[in-house]
Amino acid sequence: MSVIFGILPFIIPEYLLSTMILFFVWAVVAQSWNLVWGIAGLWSMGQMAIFAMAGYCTGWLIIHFNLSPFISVFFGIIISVFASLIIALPSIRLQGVYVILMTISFHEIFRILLTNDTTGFTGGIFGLPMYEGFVSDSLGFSEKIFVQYYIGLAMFVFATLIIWLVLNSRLGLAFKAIGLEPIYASSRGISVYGTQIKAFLIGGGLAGIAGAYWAQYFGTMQPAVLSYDTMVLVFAMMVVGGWGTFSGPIIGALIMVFISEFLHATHQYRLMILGILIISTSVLLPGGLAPLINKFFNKYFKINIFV
Amino acid sequence: MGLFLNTLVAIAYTTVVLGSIFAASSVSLSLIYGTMRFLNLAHGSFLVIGGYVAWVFAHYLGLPLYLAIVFATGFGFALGLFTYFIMLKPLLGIGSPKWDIATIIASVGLAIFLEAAILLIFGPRLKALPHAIEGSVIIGTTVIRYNALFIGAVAIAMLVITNWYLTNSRNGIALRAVASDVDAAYLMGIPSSKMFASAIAISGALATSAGALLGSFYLLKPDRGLDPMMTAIVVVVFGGLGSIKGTIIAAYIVGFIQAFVALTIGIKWSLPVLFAFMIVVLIFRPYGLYGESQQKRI
Repeated sequence: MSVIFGILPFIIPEYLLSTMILFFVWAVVAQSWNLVWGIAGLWSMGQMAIFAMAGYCTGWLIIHFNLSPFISVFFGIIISVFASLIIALPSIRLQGVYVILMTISFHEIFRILLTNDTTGFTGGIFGLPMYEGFVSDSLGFSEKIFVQYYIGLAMFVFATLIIWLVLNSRLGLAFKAIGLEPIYASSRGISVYGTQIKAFLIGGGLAGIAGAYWAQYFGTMQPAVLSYDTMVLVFAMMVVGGWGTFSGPIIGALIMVFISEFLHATHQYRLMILGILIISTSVLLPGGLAPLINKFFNKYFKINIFV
Repeated sequence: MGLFLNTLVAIAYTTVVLGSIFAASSVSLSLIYGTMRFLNLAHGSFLVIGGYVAWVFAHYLGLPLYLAIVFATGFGFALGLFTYFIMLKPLLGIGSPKWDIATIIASVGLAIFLEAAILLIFGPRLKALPHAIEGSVIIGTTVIRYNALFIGAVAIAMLVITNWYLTNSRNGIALRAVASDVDAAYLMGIPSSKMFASAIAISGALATSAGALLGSFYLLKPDRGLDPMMTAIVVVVFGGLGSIKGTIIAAYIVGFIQAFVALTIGIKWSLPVLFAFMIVVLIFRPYGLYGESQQKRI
C-alpha cells in the first residue's frame, strides 16, 4: 500500500525536463480519465475537451482581460468544472457505448468550432496569441524550464494525492460500486446519478488543472490539443497502463510519453509502430500493464504496490 | 430558376447520392456492432483504404471504375478477415467491459496503423479516381455529374444485394440470428465465432467499396477517414445501433441534413450540426429510430 513517490526532483539533462513536464500534464489527465472511466465506469471521451476548455479559458482571460496568470488559471479551472457538469448532465442517463458517442460529440463540436473560428475570438487554427504564464518571459530558457518543472511536479503530486484520497474514501468506494454493479449499488442506497456527476466533476476538475497548467506553460492554446491523435495518445495511457487501477495511468503516461519521444526518431514509421503497439497491448493485455506488474512484484517481492 | 429551386435541386441530388453512399458505409458499421458489439473505429481507415485500393487497380492496371470497385470490395473482405484474426479472435469470450474497451482501442490502433501505412505508400497528395461515365447535365445552377449518379446507383445496388443476402441466404439469416441473440443462435447450432468472422468480412467489403465510391465522388486524401466515420457513427446511432433498416433510413435523413446545412449555412457547419443533432438524438431517443431496447439503462 505504498504511494508511488515517483519523480523526485533530481538533476537530469535539460531536454528531458520538458519531456517530464509533458509526463506530468498527461499523467494528471490520464488519472482523471481513469477516475471517470476506469473506476466509475463512465465511458467518457470528454476529458480532452475539458482540458482544452480550461486551457483556452485561462489563456483567453489572460489576453483579453489582462488578468494575472494565477487568477486566470483559477477561473479556467472553475470554468472547466462547469464544462464537465454540462457534459455530465446528458451523459448520465446513458450507458456504455452511448456515453462514448455523446462525449465524442461534445469533443468534436468544440474542436470544429475552434478550428473554424475566423472571427478571431479564439484564434482559429493557429490558436491564441502568446502570453506570459506563471514564469516571467524575462528569465532565460533554462531557468523557465526549471521553475515550470517544479510547478508541474507540484501539480502532479497534488493531483495524485487527490486521486489517492478519493479512491480511499467512501466516495471512492461509491465510484467503484457504480462502476462495477450500478444496480446493486443503487439498491444499497448509493445515488447512481449523483455519484456519476461527482465523478465527472472531480475528473473534470483535475483535467482542468492540467489544462490550465498547459496554457500557462506553453503560453498559447491551439485546437491541435483536441486532435484525434492526442486524444488517442492520452486514452492509450490509461488503457496501456491499466484502467481501473491507481497507478495504471501514471505508468501508462510514463511509457507513452517516452515512447512518443523515442518514436520521433523513426519519423514516418512512428505512427505505424504506435498503431501496432496499441493493437498488441489491447489484444494481449486487455487489463493494461499495471495488473501484470503488480503480479510480478507480488510473486517475487511480496509487495502489493498498486491499488 | 429561382435560388430556392436551385438549392433544392442541389440538395436533392447530394442527398440521393451521398445518402446512398453513407447508407452503405453505415450499414457496414451497424452490421458489425449489431453482431458482436464491436464499435469499429477503424471504419474510417477502411473507407480510405477502399478508395486507394480502387485507385491502384484503376490507375496502375487501367481497369474501368466498376472493376476497380469490385476488387476494392474483395480487398475489404480480406481486410475484415485479417482484422478478425488479429484483434477479435484473441479477445473472444473476455467479458463485457473488457471486450468493449479492448476492441475499441485495438480498432483505434488498427486505424492509426492503416492510415500511416497509406500515407507512407501513397504519399500525401490528392488522387482522383477515373470516372465511369463522363459528362454531366445542368439543371438550373446545379451540375449533376453522370458519374455521381452512377456511384449512387452502385451504392443502392450494394444495399439491395446486402439486404437480399441478409434475408434470403443461409449465412445471412444466421448472421441476423447471431445479431439478435447470440446464445439462442448457438443453441440452434450456429457457430458464433464463424459468424463473427463472416460479419466483419462482409462489413469490411461494404466499407471498402463505400470508400471507393466516396473517393470517386470526392478525391482521395490519406487523412480523409475521420469525417465520414463520424458521419457513419451519427447515422448508426440515429438509425439504431444494430438495425439495418433504421440505418438506411437514417443515412438518407442525415445525408439530407448535411446537404442542407452545407448548401445553406456553409460546409464548415455541417459536422458540428450533425454532432449537435446526435446529442439531441441521444438525449431524447438514444435507441434511434429502430434500435432495440437493450436493458442498458438504470
